[in-house]
Amino acid sequence: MRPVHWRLLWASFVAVALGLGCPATALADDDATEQFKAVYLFNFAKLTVWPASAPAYVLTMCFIGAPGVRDLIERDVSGKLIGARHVEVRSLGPSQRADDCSIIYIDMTTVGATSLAASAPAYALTVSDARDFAHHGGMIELFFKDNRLRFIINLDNARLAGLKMSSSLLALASKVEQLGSP
Amino acid sequence: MPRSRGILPRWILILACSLAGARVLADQVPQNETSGDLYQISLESLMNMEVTSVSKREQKLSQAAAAIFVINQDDIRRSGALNIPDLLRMVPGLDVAQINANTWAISSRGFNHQFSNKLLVLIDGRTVFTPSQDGVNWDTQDVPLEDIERIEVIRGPGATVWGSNAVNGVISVITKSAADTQGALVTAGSGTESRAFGTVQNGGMLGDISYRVFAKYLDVDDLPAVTGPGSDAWHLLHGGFRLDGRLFDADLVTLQGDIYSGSEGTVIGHIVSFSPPDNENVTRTTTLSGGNVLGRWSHLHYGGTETTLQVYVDRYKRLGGQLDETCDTIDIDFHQNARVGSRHNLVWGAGYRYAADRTVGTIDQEFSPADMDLHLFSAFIQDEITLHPDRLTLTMGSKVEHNQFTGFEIEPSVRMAFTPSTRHTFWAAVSESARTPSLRDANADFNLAAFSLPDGSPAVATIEGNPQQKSEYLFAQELGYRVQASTWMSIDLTAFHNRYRNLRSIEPGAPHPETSPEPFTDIPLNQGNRVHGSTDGLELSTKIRVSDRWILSPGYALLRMNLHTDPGSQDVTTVANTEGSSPRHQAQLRSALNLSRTLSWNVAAYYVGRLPAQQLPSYTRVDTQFSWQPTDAMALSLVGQNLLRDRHVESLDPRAGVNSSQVQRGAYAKISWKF
Repeated sequence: MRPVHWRLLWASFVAVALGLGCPATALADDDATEQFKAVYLFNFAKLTVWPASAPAYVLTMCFIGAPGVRDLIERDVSGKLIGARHVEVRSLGPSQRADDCSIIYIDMTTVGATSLAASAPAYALTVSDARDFAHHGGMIELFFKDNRLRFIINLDNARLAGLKMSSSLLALASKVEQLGSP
Repeated sequence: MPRSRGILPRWILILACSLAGARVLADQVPQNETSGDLYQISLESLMNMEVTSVSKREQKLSQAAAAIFVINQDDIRRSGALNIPDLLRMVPGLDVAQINANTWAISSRGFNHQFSNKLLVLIDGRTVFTPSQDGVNWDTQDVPLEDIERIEVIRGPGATVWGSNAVNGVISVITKSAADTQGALVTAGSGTESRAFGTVQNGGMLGDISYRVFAKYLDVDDLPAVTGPGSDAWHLLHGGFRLDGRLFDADLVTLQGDIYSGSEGTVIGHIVSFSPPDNENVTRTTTLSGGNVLGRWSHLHYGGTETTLQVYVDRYKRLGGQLDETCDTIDIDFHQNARVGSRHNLVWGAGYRYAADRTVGTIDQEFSPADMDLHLFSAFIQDEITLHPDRLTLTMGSKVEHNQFTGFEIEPSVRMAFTPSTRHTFWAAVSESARTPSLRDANADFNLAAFSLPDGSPAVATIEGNPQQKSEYLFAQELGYRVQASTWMSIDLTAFHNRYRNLRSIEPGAPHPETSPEPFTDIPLNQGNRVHGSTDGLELSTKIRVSDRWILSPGYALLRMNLHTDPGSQDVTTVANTEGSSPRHQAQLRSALNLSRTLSWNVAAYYVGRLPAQQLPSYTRVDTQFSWQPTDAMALSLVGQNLLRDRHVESLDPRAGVNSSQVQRGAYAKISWKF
């Protein structure tokens, strides 16, 4: 009888050759980017305090575009507790109301991301990877620098919505924009 | 043991797949962490992890219904190229042939020529396709390569948005915003072919406005002529600036400009005298100068509409060659991008371009009339309709243009993209586009060669423009498939079938006597439109991530051209010259390898098939780049080009305006600092 390790070797060879057919659980480059955006979004939710007018037991994360980030949040975070609030996930079509959204994530390819941010409900935290988002009415703008994911916070916009951000979040931001800042 | 047979491979398969997944994240995430565990890591630690960034726009491109290839800054750095033509070699389906040290023939999907008239080239939205010569003067498209954000190459028609001459392709060079080039940059290098080159650049802020200014210099040695020594050395000094800022709150404004001056040698065929007939190759020095200023204003409206107005002025001047030419262009372009309802993304626009072309002829070439004012009006509308969110999009639109030679041209296209999952995109497109006549078609009055008739009297073969020249038309059908086959392999495959009519032909005219500058018999070849036919092709580009550190990019392009003369045409050269001047097969393999954190070694091999019309055999060129980047601020690179052979000829086109040289093996060293 042949030693078992030969069979193992052959099997692994075939398995690697079949690597093309691997299920889609592995992460590609694009997926890695989206994975980081999803994890950042989760952290933003943990480090933000919503006003009393926001739903007390549900934290609805709404997505305009960005199916990749949405799917990851749905898979990994949906149903979990952040503080006392259960995370729910939904996609936001252009004509759908955003009244129940505590977080609105807007894909950078969405035309007019900034104006969408301006029409968000009073207490929604708006996050996007669109350029100049924080300067144009948004609250947190994600961007890449030196292959690392960074973010800018517009504190004025967050305050207007009654949101409080933890000092550790503000300390990590590459830039905090507020009245009087350049 | 049937049981173990069934279980063992499956177990191994799962292991292999998880290994494949881990490989990609290995340098980004600590080994013991899976993606779910990222949620347990503090934001502070996350911010120190590297993520391979693929911008959303590029992701969007992977779902585009067109054959798009993007050259990014990393590709540029690893290529070792010093100019845009050498960079374009990496695009499967483009044909890049260097004619001499300062001249290239570049085309997409066939019809290669020094003045490839079916490929449109834009730099930051400014066309560099000349309206007179009907092509691109690549020597003066001298963008500092460090400032390029990306080069988007669309093979196939892009006329619906970009307009006429975007028949077989569009190359769009996009430079970085001044906000992304802050700080000082100095690069300097020297080598056997590029004797000296360097860039000095500074970027900073003026209040809210970011700026950069640069100066760039290039000095290139002669290449040996096909016979005898060469005299095609050249140099170019180039300065430029870019400002990016915001006006009010929702307006993005860009102002940029360039100015350059230089000179180059060329060897041209020249008629010394009609009688006795004397044709010689002479060396000329062409002085090159020019510049441009471009302003762009984008306004973001509430409700998701974006309006852009772009205006530029451009001048180029080339003196001392076969024809002295000065061309001034003013271009105004307006477009708006609007979301209408939930399904429609509407883009529409209108533009006007005025070009004043002034020439002074020589005995070899003149334009008649010598001066010409060209007016081009255009308008387009395109609707991207989401038939099913994230799955199915239909894009349809058309451009309407008016030019003074052929009047109105309509260039419609319909494109469909189907993305059954984020990994797969199928697309199909049909388009009609036009190549409108140039001054070369309409006004040329070129003397090719002097000779004696049997009775001893002098005669000259000439090319005469045809003011009634018609547009060339293409009806293109394309199919494409892109797949991210797994974490380590992606494939992009395109097939096309193009049908052309009214292609340019050269029809012998009736010999007639001429009196100026002395009596001779004019044997004319008249511009016509009597060639038609089809081309078919396949283009394949793939990317294989062998390991975290090593990426291989194989590519292949097949082209079959099947052209015919129309009934009644007496053209006996165009079909063979055109078909035989573009290679049937091209293949490439590029390797990008990071040896360590600071060392990388990159190699590219390009195979180009033979050119029967030019009696040129196939060739393979190998370029390599070795770079050492000890800190973010400093990089040193050593580059070898054309390593396989001492010299080879890439183009020997009898239709080119300049004589060919042999491309030589070369090497250079380059250093760059940022501070």
